[in-house]
Amino acid sequence: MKISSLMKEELKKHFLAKLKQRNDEVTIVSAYPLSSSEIEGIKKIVPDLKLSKINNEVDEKLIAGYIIRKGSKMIDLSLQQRLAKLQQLSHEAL
Amino acid sequence: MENLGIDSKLLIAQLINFGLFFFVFKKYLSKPFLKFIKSEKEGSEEREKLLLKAKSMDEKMVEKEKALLATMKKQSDAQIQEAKNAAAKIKVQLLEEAEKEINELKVRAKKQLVQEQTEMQKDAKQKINELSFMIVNSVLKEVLTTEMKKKISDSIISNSAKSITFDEN
Repeated sequence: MKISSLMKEELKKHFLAKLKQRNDEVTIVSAYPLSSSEIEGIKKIVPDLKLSKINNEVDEKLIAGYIIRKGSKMIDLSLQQRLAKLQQLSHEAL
Repeated sequence: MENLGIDSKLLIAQLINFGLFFFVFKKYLSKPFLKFIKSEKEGSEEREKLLLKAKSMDEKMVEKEKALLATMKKQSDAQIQEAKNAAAKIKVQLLEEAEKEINELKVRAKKQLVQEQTEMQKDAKQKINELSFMIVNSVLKEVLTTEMKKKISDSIISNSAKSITFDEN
């Protein structure tokens, strides 16, 4: 079965729009629910987030700090990750 | 002579008888008899010689046997002594080898023990490390209030402000 060029074009547009939407959306995972002022504070520190739509997810495993996800990219600023790094260093030192 | 009880006729007859006997004996019997006696004497001497020779040979044989026995005893003694020496040498060698092997085993066992001890210590340290972090994690989760979590989060994000970059997921 052949796909017509028009349909191809439509599909391309659709997926690009979806990708743009996904890239514009940012998820901040935190150990507790964030207030809007806290989200604004984070936006000030991370300039890439200024024009993005922010979602907040809560995951108590983080203990403290944040994980910021944008599309396929991620910044891990959680206390859990710091502790894991420290544990790794300590493990290597033994 | 008759008064003396001697019969002269009888005496004469006896003398004649003796004379006849002597004549016959000398003429016919003495030679073969003497020859027989001589041959007997020679035979006896020969036998004596042979006996002496046999005796001497027997003595020689006994001496030879004694000498042979002595030689054999000497040789067997020497061989026994040699075997004893060889056995003693082998014993010493075996003991040395066993001692060497024991020492090697001791060294190997000691080395293995030290290695196992080191590995156990390392393992124990790693387990302590893991456990410590598990305890820290769970204590932090239990103890930290939301306010404290906020402060820590602020501190982390402020300290990392310069190095914040997105990593590929």
